[in-house]
Formats: sequence, structure tokens, C-alpha cells
Amino acid sequence: MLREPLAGLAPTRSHSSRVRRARPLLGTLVEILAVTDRSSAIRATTAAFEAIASVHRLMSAHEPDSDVGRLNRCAHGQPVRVDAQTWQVLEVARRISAASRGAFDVCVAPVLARWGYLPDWVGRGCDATAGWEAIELLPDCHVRFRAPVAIDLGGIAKGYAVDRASAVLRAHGVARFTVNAGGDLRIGDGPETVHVRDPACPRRLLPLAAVSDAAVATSGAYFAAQTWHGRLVHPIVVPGSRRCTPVGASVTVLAPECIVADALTKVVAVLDGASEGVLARFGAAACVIAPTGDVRRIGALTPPVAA
Amino acid sequence: MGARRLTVPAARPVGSSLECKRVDSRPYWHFLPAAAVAVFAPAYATVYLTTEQAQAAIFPGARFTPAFVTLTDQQRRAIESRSDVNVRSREVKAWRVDGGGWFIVDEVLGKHEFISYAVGLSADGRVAGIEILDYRESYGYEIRDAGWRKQFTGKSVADPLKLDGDIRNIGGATLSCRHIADGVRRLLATYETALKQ
Repeated sequence: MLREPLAGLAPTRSHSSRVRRARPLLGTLVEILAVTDRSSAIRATTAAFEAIASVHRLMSAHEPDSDVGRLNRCAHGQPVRVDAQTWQVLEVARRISAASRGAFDVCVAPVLARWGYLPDWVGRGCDATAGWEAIELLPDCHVRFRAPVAIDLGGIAKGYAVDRASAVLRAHGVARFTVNAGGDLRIGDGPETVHVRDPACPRRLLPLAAVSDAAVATSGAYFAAQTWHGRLVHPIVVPGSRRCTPVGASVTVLAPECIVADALTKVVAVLDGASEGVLARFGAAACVIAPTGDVRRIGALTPPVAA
Repeated sequence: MGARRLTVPAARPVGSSLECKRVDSRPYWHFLPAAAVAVFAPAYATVYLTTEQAQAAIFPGARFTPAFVTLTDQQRRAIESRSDVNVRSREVKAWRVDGGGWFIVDEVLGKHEFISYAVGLSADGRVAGIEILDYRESYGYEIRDAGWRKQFTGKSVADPLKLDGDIRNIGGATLSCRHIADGVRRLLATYETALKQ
């Protein structure tokens, strides 16, 4: 008996299609666009979504049994073994924390739990004075906390997931693509124009940059802000405090990798113009849109060209 | 809903014969001029997969038999009680998957967005996959910034904004997937109540 052709897939041809798919993951909508022949695009994007789902499973602070859940429950006390991916994210997080002198710090989970962004069992009994320096990265993917801290990787894991998905697409031979996880995105061969929402007026889109083979991460409070005890809060916490960065501003960072772009948006949100040195160190640049609508750039207009 | 399109500075489109300023495979960007004019998108829509494409993506190689159901009032109440989510429509667009499992197309409504999506359930009633079919976002004409309108004075009206044409990459989170999570919970309850044999 002859099998019917698979519903929805055109007979294999070499001409390019734009295949666009989206799935709810990482607490947002993750969209992947692949430009290649249709059947390769379906295969490649399915594999890319699986890479993202893997990051989601490992790094969700909402799940007690994810790597992050287990670290928060057990790592102050004894070393906990985590997946290589989690260990890698913590390693990058530490480098950015060190370079920014703590302006980026994953130990903000207790404040996020207080404001209702994380379950209230997260961060109970934590030392409010301890931060990223308490995280000890040990051999063989083990991690220990030197003080009772609780971590949230929400400020860096989306960017990491986008990088992983991009690598999977490239491995499947897809050169032209976009992976967009709720505003943290990476573009393949380009150039493509990236727009950013005006934080005061979300339906107004500002053309930001033409981008090729690089990442663009945007952190803006406009959709994540909520009221807590009469105060307007959003999830970009100023580390070591119980404040968030100014509401109504939007920070966009361009960098070679999305994990770095994602984490650096928090550094720029906290340090503003003083983040210039950190941005340069990671080959990044930023654009800040103030609540007034003023647009300001920090760092080079284009990345430095090799001599 | 008519939309005005403002002139966008010439950014090189994908596949253009114009040279791309890349140095081998180094990351590259260049900021567009500060005077670059904003594009106004009061309504934005993206089509992802068709129903058939989503079927093939979640259950590769499978065959489907339509098995649409209209919920009775009793079923509707049972689903609402089980899932703690309101049932907006009594129509359930379900397909039985040959060999076991279900494929359901559903919609969720947020304050500014309307999302059509598909859920695949395996033979034992677990979620096998979720695919967004299409996504529509609309802010209507509410005006948040009083001075905002001034920028349009004196500008000419060009072609209407081509939805899903020019605007491809938008930074800045667009929505939470909470509505979809609620929808999936409601569909699992729908399966238990009205579809499961």
C-alpha cells in the first residue's frame, strides 16, 4: 500500500522557504525562523526547539527538581552535580558578575520570590548580604554555595537557550535564521533589521540596527511590571538591594552571543553609562530608551573590525 | 484597521545583491541613524503553521480523523471545575490520531493578543507537543503619550503597513505564555471529560 505524502510538507525541492514556528517555552513565546528548503527547515527547527526545551527543564527556578531547584534547596551544605549546560551558564554568569562588580548577580531569587515572580518557597532562609561570590564552581560539573543564597537564571538562561538553538540550526546547515525568545534574539547570516519597541508606546517600533551573525537582547519592564504592596516593580533587581531598576526604560544590548547580550542588559540597566567598560570587554554595545523616549547609545556603533 | 506606514530607512533586505559588511564570519552590526523613523504597528499578525503542518510537526507520518465535539452544558461545567479556566466556546476542534492520541486546535485571548494554537496529546493523555498556528496583537488606538501624535504632522501617507511583511525582528518581550498554559490545562480537562474513551 502506497503511503500518502506527509500532510503539509511539500515534495522535497531545493528552493528556499521561510519556515516560521513558535512554541511557548522559557516563560515566553519562542519563535524560530529558518530560511532553507522546507523539509530541512522543519527538521532543523524541531531540533532547535528541543535544545530550548532542554534549557527550560534544567534551569527553571519554579521547579524544585530542575538543576536550579536542586541547587537552591541543597547546594549550601554539599556540592550538587548539575548538567554541563547549567554549569556553563553559571561560569559565564560569574565572569560577568566579576567584570561588572556585582551589577549582574544571579542571587536575586529571594527578592523575586518576595515580589511574586517566583514561588514563595524559593529563597527562604537566605542570607540577604551574600551574592555571586558564594557560588563555587567545582570540577566535574559540581556546584556548591558557600553561603545560603538562592539563584534565578532568568536573566541569562534565555540568551543561552537562543545560542544553543542557533548552533543546532547551523549544524543542520541552516545559515539564514532568527531565534527570538521573548525579545532575546540571534540572527544568522544577514543583514537583518532589528526593531525595538518604544517602552512608552508598545505598538511603536524603532528601527535599531542592521545585524548579521550576532545577538540582540532587550530588557524592558513594559510587559513584566506589576504592583506589589502599592509599588510598581519589575524583575530587574538591583543586586544587594530590594529595589528594581527604573520602570519604563528599555535596554538593548548587541553582542556576538545571546547569553552575553542577555546578561549585559541587566548590567546596563543597573550601571547605565558606567557600563561602557564592561560592554567593551565583551565586545558588546547598548542602546537605552528612557521613559521620556530619549534614545542613547553606549559603546561602538559597529563592532571593531579585525586589523 | 488602517495603519499608517512611515518611511523606514533603507536597510539591506535579506538576499540582496548589495554587499554585506561582514569580515568572514565575524558578528556584525551597525546602528541605524538616530533620526531613523519609527514604524507604527497598531496591529501585528504572524502566521506560523497551518493545521496540517502542525499535525505533521507533532505527529510525523500519522493520519488524522476529524472528531469535532460540541460540549454539553454539563461537560462545560465539569471542564471549568477541573481546570479552573473558563470555557469560552463549546466547539472542540479535535482530530483522533490513528494509533492513539489526539490533536486539538484552540484559541486564547489576552488583553492585546489573540493566539491560535494546536496541542497534541499522546495515547495516554499527556501533552506530546504544542505549536502556535497564528498570533495577532492589537493595541487599538489608545494613546499613552500625548505628544506622540505630533510626529505624524506633515508626513505623507505611504502604503498601508504590510503585516508580517517588513517587520520581522522585534526586540522586547511581547507576551507571557500564561494564556497558553491555561488553555492547555483546559484542553487536558476537555480530553478527560469529553474525548477520552
